Amino acid sequence: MLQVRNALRPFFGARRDIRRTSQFQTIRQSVPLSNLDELYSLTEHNPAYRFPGMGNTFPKAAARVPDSTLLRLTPSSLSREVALQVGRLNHHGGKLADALISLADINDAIRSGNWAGAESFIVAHREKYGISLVLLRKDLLTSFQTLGLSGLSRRYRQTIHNVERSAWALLAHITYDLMDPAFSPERATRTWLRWLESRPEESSYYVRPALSELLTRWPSKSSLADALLRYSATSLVDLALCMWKASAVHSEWSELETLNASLRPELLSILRDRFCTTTVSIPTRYSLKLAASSDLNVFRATFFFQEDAPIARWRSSFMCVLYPRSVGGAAVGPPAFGIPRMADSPEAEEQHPGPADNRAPLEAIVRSVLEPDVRVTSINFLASAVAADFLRRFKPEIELCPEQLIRILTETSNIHEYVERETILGLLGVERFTQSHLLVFLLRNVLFRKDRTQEHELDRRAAFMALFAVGGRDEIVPFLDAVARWSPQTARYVAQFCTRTFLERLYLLVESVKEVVETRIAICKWILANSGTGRATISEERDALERELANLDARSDLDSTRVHVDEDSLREWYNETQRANELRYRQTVITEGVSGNHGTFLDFYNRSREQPKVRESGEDLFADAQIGSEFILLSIFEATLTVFVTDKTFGLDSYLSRRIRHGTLRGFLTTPVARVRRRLADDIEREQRTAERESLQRVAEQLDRWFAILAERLDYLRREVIQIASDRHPVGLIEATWRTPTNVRHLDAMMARTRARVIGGQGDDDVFSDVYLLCWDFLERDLAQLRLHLNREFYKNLAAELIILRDEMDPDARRAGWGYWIEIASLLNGRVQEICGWFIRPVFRRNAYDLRTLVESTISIVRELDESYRFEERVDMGDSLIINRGSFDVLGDILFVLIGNAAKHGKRGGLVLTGAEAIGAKCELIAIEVVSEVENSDALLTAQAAIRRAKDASDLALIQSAGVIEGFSGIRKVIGLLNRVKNRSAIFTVDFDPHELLVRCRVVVPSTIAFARERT
Amino acid sequence: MNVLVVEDDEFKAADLLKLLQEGVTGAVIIRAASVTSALRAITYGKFDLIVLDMSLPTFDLSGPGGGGSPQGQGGVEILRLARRLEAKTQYIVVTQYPDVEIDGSDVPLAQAAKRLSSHFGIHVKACLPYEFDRDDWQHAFKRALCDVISGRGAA
Repeated sequence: MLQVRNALRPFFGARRDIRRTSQFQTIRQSVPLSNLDELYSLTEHNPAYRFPGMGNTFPKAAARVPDSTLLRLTPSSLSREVALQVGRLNHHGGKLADALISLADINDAIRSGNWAGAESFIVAHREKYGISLVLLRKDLLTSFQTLGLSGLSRRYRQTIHNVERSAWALLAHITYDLMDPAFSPERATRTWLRWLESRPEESSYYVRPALSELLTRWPSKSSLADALLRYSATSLVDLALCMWKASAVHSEWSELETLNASLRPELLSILRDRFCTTTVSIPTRYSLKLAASSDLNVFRATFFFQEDAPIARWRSSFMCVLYPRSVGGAAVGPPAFGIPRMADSPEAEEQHPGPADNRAPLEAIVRSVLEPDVRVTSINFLASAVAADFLRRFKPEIELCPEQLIRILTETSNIHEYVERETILGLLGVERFTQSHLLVFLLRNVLFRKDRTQEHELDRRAAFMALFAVGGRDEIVPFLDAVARWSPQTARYVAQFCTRTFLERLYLLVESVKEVVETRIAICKWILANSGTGRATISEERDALERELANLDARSDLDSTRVHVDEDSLREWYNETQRANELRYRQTVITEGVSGNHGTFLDFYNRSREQPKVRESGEDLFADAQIGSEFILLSIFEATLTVFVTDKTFGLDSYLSRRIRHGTLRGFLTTPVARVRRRLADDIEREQRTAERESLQRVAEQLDRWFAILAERLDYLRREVIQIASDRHPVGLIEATWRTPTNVRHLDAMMARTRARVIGGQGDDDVFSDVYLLCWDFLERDLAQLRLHLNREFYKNLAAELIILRDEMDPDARRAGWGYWIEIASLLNGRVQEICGWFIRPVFRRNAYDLRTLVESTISIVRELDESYRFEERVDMGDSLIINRGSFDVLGDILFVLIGNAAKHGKRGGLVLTGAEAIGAKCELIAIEVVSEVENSDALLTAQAAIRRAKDASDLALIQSAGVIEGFSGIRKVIGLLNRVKNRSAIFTVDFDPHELLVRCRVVVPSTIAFARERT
Repeated sequence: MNVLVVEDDEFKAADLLKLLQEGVTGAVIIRAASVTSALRAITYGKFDLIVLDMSLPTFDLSGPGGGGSPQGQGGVEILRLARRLEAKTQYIVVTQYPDVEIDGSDVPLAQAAKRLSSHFGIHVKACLPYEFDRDDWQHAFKRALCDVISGRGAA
């Protein structure tokens, strides 16, 4: 002991903090274990020293928890470390016993739901026994339950106030993340483990306690020795409970027997009596409808009650299957407690409800672990982890038939998150498994879901196609029926994969869109007959597909060129990448509750950008907003919008590739012009008269010059303008940004709508539809810009060039080329108008549409297309006029024609009135009237003659092709559309009022049209 | 010599067929106008040369319901399958894109043949930019075609 005294001599009366490491290290290594009492009587709470002991005792200063001045200490062997620390615990036994009882009282209060009592116990405990990691957990949990998310946030910030960059703040941050109702505790743990495991060795003083808290398990004896050393620098309460947990989790380590043998009996008795509870308490704040008592929340709760031995064992067992690498990988061996071992041998298979059990075996296993102590409503997460662990341990000699493995894979939708790639590849190498095409498909599917590469996607499809004969799309539904007989869940799981997008890519099974639609309808019907969930969505999809099938042969040119984003693929991407965030969002909304007048997102966004001081002075605003539901929804939306626009497989960029950058745009404009040019060449060839031929040749030369200009402008248009704006395409008109005042308003409205629905539905609502529609809302402005550019820049400049080139010709050539020039000008106009039609937001697969919205959007598009548009607009109709998809299509085109003509030929500054009414007892018909003023009597007569000509036209072919030839403004197109409606009530009449100079167009169509139009 | 032309655009396909008929004596030329028909063709047929477009519809446009989803990189999908089939087919890519996307990055056409060959382990002879109003690409195509024929003769 003299040696110890000498080692500590420099600290006597020291006025400054002297580094203790070398002295302490010497003492720890050299002191005989039999002299520990003497040692601690010398070092602990000695007023002559500037330190509280050989570690922290009952610390009050957060900056010293854990004590970083001891970071260079190195742990002894586990047996010595346990002895050293038990000695310290014994030395402080009296106060420590009181502290542990106080902590147990806090736990009891929490478990009994006495949150107010728990709160006051925590305050008292902190006053008397200082701070500790275990108290921090209780403190945050209580704050969350009593004050909600904002209370939790506030308490967290108070906890780390002035020590934001300390180890204590980091440990508090980890606790907060595990607590945050908006963050999956499993993901939070994974994220923190990754971060902690990348820290350098000298960070062990905070990394080891953090890992111990997260894993509740130690991969080796040396890591536990290290943990004990680091906890001793944290607090005695944490040290005592770490040892208690370790003895429960690693009872096979004989070194830990010292605890039972040497710890003061009163301490041991408190631990055994008060820290052996099996009950976890989940705050009601977590209990939304969608996740009440879910296994994820049970998992979360175990973090907060891990000081209880049974819970520590249970948690530790699952850590082995969740994070095998972090707890030491295979070296750890099978979980020692809780989880029944799954089929390590055929005998074990018989002993336990293993995969051979037809009744959801994994669920049975997980429930057997949790219940009756914990009742859980869903076990997806833990079942996936257990299944992954089982697969990891699988050996080919184990008798497991493909069907059993199939059931494991289909019962665990998230298994890909826990199972390693090598494990799956190993299973694919087992011969008896490769004989089951279904199993191969499911294994390939897991591989695909792990990294979503195109290579794995092709593997997955190839495996699926191998289930059927070539062209055997009709076999899919019978196959589902056959699978359902032995595993309904597997059949439902496979059916979910057969989305339209997936079917489209099955090149050996389907050959056309029609086959895809028919197959998907059959699968939708199968799902509706065999599944109890998601029926509304599937039913809606089936209806939409049936409508599409009815109209399949009648798809117009416009339908096949209109701007397009594949909703199914986007939804698939969303499900894979954003569902966790969506759950987080919904949980946050529920936790935030209905109350709280935070103002609009727009207000907040503007304020936070313009007045950064608000952040500093405001108490709650900044912290709340960072975790608030708005920001989560915004992050979901931003990610979705990016993919919506840029994805090269299904996003807008894919459409642009196909329709724009590829030849379609160019061919659509240049082909008819080239035909006119060819006809001119033929005319020149045929022309016998020299003078006329020379005139025509001059026309051809000018036309070639214009053609070159057209080609150049087109190149610029497709390569630079119709592009997603980026550094590479600075003049690209598609910005797809939400950061404009109008779009932020859209966003605000959507956030309010979605929030209200989530609260109304207790978190059950699907957010994707809102996000998807909002993506289109945001694109609206860009599409309008594109249409404006085409009309006012591209078309206008080319038309002007055409006139310049015509005027450059001599009078003879001008006369000779007059007809060609008129034709090309008309072609150019018509084609540009058609291309503008490509950039109109598509209609969505809904059963019903609001007519007023259709009219208003049509007017806005006409307004954009007509540069000199100046009219008094009036829309005279109620909001309750509803039409179906077929009527929407027909009326959309008719309104373009009627309102377009009103704008084209009407009196500037005059009136354009659009009215509508329902006719019939059940609103079977819709009458629409477009009334416009003309300038004078001559204009009225001209209009009258033109309309009569169009209406009297008997050439059916001309009428049918009017949609293409005349573009949007052709009256014949209206007649053609009505002809195809095939309903006697469908009529088109025009009245002329010579006194008021009004043209009154009236169209009557059925409100429900099943068959829209034919291919033009 | 068996040749597969994968091209949905009629004008471009006509240009390619003309060049192939002029350049390869006795060629048996089959045309596929979509990703699906091309994938089927290469699954069941053996081709010495495949002339490939990059941007393709999923199904033939003439089929019931039209072309389905457009696949901006449908040609790459075909090359991906080709790798698995381990055929000794040679490829000439003729596209209107300035670049080809390989694993998320855009590779300029000038370097695309080499990159595609190494990435998929196949023989991509050339990646050419098609321009319907210019003839430059036709010369390059003829040169690539000669390479394919002479290589085949040497083999």
